[in-house]
Amino acid sequence: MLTSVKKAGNRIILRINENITDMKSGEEFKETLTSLYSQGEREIVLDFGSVNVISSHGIGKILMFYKRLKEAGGQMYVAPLNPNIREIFEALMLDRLIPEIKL
Amino acid sequence: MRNLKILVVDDEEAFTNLMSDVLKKMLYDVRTANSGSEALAAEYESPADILITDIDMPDMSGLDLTEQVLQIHPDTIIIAMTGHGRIADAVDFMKRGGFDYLQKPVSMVAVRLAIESAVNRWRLKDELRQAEQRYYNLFENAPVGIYQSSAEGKFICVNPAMARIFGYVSAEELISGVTDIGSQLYLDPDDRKVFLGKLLNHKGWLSAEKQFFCKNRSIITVIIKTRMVRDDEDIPLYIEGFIEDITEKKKQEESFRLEMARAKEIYERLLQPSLPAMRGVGIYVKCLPAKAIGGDVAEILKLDEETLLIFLADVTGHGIPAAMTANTLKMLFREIAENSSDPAEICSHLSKTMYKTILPDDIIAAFCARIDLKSLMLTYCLCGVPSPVIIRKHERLSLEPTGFPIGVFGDAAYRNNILRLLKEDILVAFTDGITEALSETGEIFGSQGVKLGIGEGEESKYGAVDSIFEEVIRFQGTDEDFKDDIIILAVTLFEEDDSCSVKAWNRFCEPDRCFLKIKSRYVDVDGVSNFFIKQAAEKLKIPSDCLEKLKVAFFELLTNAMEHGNLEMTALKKSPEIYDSKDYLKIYLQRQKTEPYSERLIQIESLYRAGYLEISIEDEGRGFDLDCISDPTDTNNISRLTGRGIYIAKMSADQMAYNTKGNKVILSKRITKQ
Repeated sequence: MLTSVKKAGNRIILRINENITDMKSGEEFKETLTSLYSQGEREIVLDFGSVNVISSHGIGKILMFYKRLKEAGGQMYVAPLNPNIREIFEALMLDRLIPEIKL
Repeated sequence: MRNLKILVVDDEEAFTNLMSDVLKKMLYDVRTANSGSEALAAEYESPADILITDIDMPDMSGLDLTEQVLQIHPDTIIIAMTGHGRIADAVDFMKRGGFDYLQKPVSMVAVRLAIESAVNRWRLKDELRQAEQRYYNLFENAPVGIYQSSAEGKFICVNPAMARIFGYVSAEELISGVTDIGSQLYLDPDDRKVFLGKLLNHKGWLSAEKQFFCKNRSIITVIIKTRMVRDDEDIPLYIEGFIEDITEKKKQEESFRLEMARAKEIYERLLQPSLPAMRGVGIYVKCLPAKAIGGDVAEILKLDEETLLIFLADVTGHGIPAAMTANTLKMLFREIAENSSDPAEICSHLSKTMYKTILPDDIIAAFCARIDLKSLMLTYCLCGVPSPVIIRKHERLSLEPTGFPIGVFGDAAYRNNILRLLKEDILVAFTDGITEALSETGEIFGSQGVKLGIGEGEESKYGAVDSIFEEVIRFQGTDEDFKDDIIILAVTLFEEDDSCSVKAWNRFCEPDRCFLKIKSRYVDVDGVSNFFIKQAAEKLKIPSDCLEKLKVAFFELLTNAMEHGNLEMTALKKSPEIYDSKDYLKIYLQRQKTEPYSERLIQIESLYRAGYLEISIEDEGRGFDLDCISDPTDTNNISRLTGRGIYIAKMSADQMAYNTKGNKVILSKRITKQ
């Protein structure tokens, strides 16, 4: 499975288990986020675990839902990032947008 | 199942009434007639399934009735009743196609048995009829052409779809109109012979894509699935098969292919950055689209003599959608750059506009930088592209991101970072196809990989672009499988007086194409020839030796471009006093360092397509008329000094052509890629 979902209080922890590098995985990721959003989830924590790559496909979806959650008064978080994902987040300055929280 | 219709015929009304009562109880649909003519009238009105008739009737005998009814309705099952001992009648009746006979006086038991047996027969016949009808309907209404044909080339039977596919009104018209399939339908009659040969040597079905003539001689493309039908002893009987018309589909595929080819051309135009020749700057751009087209964009603009503007962007994904956005983006960038040279301003403008253009889950990573060549100030805005690296002697400096990717927020503010560069610095920027390359074990190349690729030494830095590329290919374990588009861009700063030529070339490379722009000042004919041919060989993955002859031609033509084109040495060459003395070389070298000669460009392009390597060399000279060049093999011209180079070049390439002005020559040589 590309992702797995866990409830923690009023937050949803969305764990990403595989690299998101192509259109297919990007769309799957988007569908998961869409369904969480339409179920009314407004606090989503992305946990990249030990995944190495999130391509611009994946980043695009993250930013799309970052904005949606914000507009709906919610927030997106990330669990502590591994160095590879941190490098991507920092290059895109997503670390300034999306707070990192301990699980 | 419907009630079977039975018609009982006898001249004795009492008998027909009795039979009618009995049979109606058995739920048959019964009618009666008391003469042959009455029976025939009833038959014309509504045919019976089973007819029971007396033989011996006054106006028309049962035998005549049987014969006439079977003529109108051959499927009718007829039972006769004969007088006692009239065996001859019975035999006659059976000969005329009767089903069964009873001897008078008939018992009801015998009648019942005879009818039951007739009903069974009727049902069997009916099932067969229905099955036939089903297959017939299938054959008649099938959307694919179905046919049987003889080895000699005539149709045995075809369905209406088959006739339609070939433009005939009906199956009959096709069968009678085509008397020789090979010569009338095949584009090449011999092709049918070959195909027939294959069928004869093949058991089971064969499938092929073929083209045929229609009735009106237009050409259709079909998929044909066919086999040879054989008897029990394996003797070929006839051919049968199915034909599907794919003309329209083929047309669509072809037009899609053409569209893609054009899209690729547009993308190639889009991809190629202008490589402005500027004082003290060398530019090298190398790219690799993931598929035919992609979403990476690079542009380098000369704003004025002192200012250089660099733009590198990466649109989400690849293929047509990414290329469409990339196209808009590059156009927009060029337009904005007409009025603004401030990277943050440009990015902010781009972001505002692209925000409205791209899909909500797309992003554009971008790097925009301005270099002031006088003060060496680098002003940049870095929005999501992996951190570019500045190579400075043994140092490797990474640039800091300054803003969000473009097009994500409509109101994002962008700011610049400023950094002072030094002469000899090299700025290397690249898209995430490099940093996100994965090894076979799933590790990511990352910015660490880039630094590793650049190496640590001072010497290696001029080869940085190629060595990053090599490193990433080594890391991935293959050069075939880049998931993303890749662009690496390097801008080298140097002292104009510095005579190291390699770094002063502006270069743009993609898999089948390479473009080189060099000021005459930096053209070392031997060096450029060796480099260019070696590189072409590496690209084509063939040994350099294979291009040895082409190198000779290249050398001759580059020499011409320099001597006769940019350095205007023609007149001097014609004067034996100068040409034979050391002065010639002296003047050559001197002009190479003197304006305007030194600033004139040599542009070289190599393109590999359709099995040919095409190399063009263009100078900025006045050009010449090829017709004025004399044939050096003519004995009258042996002592003349000009024209020899062109002649040698001509011998060494498959084709050679000049533009009208005569300042651009194109060489072409057939190369088989390995």
